[in-house]
Amino acid sequence: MQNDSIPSGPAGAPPPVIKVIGLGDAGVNIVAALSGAPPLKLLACNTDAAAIAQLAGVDKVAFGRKTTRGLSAGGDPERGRAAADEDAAKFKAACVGASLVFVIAGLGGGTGTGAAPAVARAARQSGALVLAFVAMPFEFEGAKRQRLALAGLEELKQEADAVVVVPNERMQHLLDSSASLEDTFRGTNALLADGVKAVARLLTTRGLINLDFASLAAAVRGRHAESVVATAEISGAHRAVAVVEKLLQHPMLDDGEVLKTADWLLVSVAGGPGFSFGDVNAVMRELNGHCGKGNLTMGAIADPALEGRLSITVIATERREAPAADVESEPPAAMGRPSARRASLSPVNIDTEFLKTPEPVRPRRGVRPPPPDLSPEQQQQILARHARPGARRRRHTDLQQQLPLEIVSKGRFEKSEPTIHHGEDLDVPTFIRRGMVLN
Amino acid sequence: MSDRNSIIVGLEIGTSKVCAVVGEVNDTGAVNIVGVGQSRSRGVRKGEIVDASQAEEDVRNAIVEAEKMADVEIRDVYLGVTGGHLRGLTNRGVHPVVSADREITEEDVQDVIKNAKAINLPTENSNIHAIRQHFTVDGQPGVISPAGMLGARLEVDVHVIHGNTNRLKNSIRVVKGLQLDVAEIVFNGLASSLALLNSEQKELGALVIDIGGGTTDYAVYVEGVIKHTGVLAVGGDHVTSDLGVGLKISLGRAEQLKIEHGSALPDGAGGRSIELPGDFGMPGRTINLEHLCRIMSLRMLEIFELIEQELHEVGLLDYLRGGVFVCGGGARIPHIEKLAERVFGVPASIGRTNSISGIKSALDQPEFAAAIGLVKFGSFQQKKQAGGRSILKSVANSIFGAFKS
Repeated sequence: MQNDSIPSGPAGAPPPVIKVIGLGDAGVNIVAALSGAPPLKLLACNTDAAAIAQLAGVDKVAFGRKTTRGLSAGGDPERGRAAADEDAAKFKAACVGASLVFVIAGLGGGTGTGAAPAVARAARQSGALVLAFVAMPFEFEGAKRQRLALAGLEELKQEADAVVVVPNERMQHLLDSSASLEDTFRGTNALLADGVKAVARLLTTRGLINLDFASLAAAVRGRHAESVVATAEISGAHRAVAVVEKLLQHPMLDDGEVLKTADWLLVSVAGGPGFSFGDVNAVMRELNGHCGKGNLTMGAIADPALEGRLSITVIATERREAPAADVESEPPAAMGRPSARRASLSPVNIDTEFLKTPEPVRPRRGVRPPPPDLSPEQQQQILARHARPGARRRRHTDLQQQLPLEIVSKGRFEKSEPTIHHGEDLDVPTFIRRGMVLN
Repeated sequence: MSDRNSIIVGLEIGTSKVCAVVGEVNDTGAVNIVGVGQSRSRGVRKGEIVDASQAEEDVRNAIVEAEKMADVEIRDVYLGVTGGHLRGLTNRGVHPVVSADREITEEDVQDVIKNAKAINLPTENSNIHAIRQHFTVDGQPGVISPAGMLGARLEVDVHVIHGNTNRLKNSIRVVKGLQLDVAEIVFNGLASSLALLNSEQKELGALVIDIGGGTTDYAVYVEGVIKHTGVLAVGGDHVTSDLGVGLKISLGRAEQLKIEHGSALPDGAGGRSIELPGDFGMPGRTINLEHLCRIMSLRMLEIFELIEQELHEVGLLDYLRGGVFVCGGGARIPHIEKLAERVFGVPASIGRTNSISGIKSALDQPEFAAAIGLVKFGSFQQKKQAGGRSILKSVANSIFGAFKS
């Protein structure tokens, strides 16, 4: 793309080299979906050597062999970070000569969350602009992953020049229950991959009305910003109107609702050689009607490759006030539950856990208030009540609460009145409730 | 010093220490700190008394020390209270102006305040403070003094702090057991904010977080009035306990490590370790400094996040233009202000008790903020009661509004 699409650039300038690094299972899947886009140099990286070995057609790197011994990071960002730090030189070498590096990852797991900031730093040190493209976990994946993802995002924003945050939750209505899971996820990966391609073109092509990295960074910047990238392409007679209509049908745009609520819109219109002022005018007039009062920045690109077609790319950013509220809307009792924690800490393929099976939904169903809430008298009462005949099934479940597995250390507060805040026992050490691993 | 009224004593029975501060009000109405007494607290958990006789002894020690230092006899104290049972809530009172000419009279103002204070508390709870905020006249907000204005409908917001009566009485009983009078009980978070903030910061909007041993108290000022207060029954003891559990060391060692090596940010601790010498038959240990700092950091982060969440829910997060001020023993943790800055997104600093003069060693310590604030509170109350000629009285009234004793 970069060879033939810089018509107005200086003839002697070397074409920009764009490197795409996919991290973790989610990142690798998206990179795999990108393969076949020749101008992008793809690199798939994972700590899980077995998972990455199955991949064909892209350059791949299994990193952190010493830290993880070729296994996954097990949902622990610390291990992911350690793995990336171990092979920082590898990443730096991979980025040498690139002018723009995309770091693609799904946040909330181990490898993506932990390694993305480290890789972004390595890429930046090698002199490239770094654009991170990350997917936030689905809500059903649990509060812990959301929290890890938010923490990882904060860190990533320190390292990368710009971060495009795509909440997976937006894709929920794509998840048609009748379609096979594999197809749905291939679909969502393809959508993200399309987004990456569109952004790459936007940045590498010198436009008639130019949009550069700085305007992209301004659009996606913000502490709690979430972005959606949507793109549509069409040919035909009434393409200016049709392309907008097609864009509005894009699943990420939620029937155009996203455009209305977005705080910042970056619009890039691209056309073939016959691309006229009238086309741009028509597209923008049509699109403006669907937009809210957000800040709109537009660019126009003439791309000979788009013979007779019209393509439009929208990056819509919404600056939400407090994502923490969403996280906390989880039933808080589920947070400190060992059962819930166990499910998300399982060492196998944590990154694609949600891609394969909606397993983590299950533990929520059985959530009960933690046993320390009961005073000794109440416990006695319950036991006495269920000791009577005819209450066998209930007694069984109540006795389950007494299992020592459920009781976590409270140190010196063992005997004092528990401090319950929104269903969470604050006397239990924070690092235990948040699942920090001391290795 | 000759006039008994000019001596004001603030007493804070904290989880880690009992602290008595003696202040002297001079002729101009300024407060001067002349004595400080403190003693390690052994009968308090999470800000509430669990061993009355032990607490009584500790209070006696602190009072005696303060008396010696200030060379006065202490007869009554302003007692600071805290604990997880305290709640702050804001209630609105409405009053129709009935007079024919629609002029709002002083009686109307008293009536609307009375209406606002009339809230349904649980039977076992009682009011500690009812703090007047701004008036609204016919839907026009932000009226400070409505008497004399015209209007048909007068409204006022009152922030009420209430707590479990019996638990509040427990600490009062301990003090009374020492033949001391309790002039008034005051919420610790409120006292700390009085000590730290000047009127400009109150006007801009500021959050004061007092991280004590057993509780974390906070108060938010917006446009010169208290908008929100709260207590989390989580404090420095929890950090010690977390460290004990996480590093598998005794609480005594955990406390020592917390003080010597603790940090609110884990940055820069990577790979370093601390050698613990063996004593009393315990073998020496090597502790990973990074683990220590991360356990601490997570706890402090959580405390700030819970406060942030609470302020977000009441919609005050965007009004903290004056910044965040941290005091209490928790303010001793290195980098705590940076952590607060990250969470709240506004400048944060360690609170200094600037507005009071006196013994420098007492004023410079963030632990004493609440006790010093109690003295300041007492000085305002005395001026009010004296019916005061001084201009400070009106200032004090406009700041605190109507307190209910």
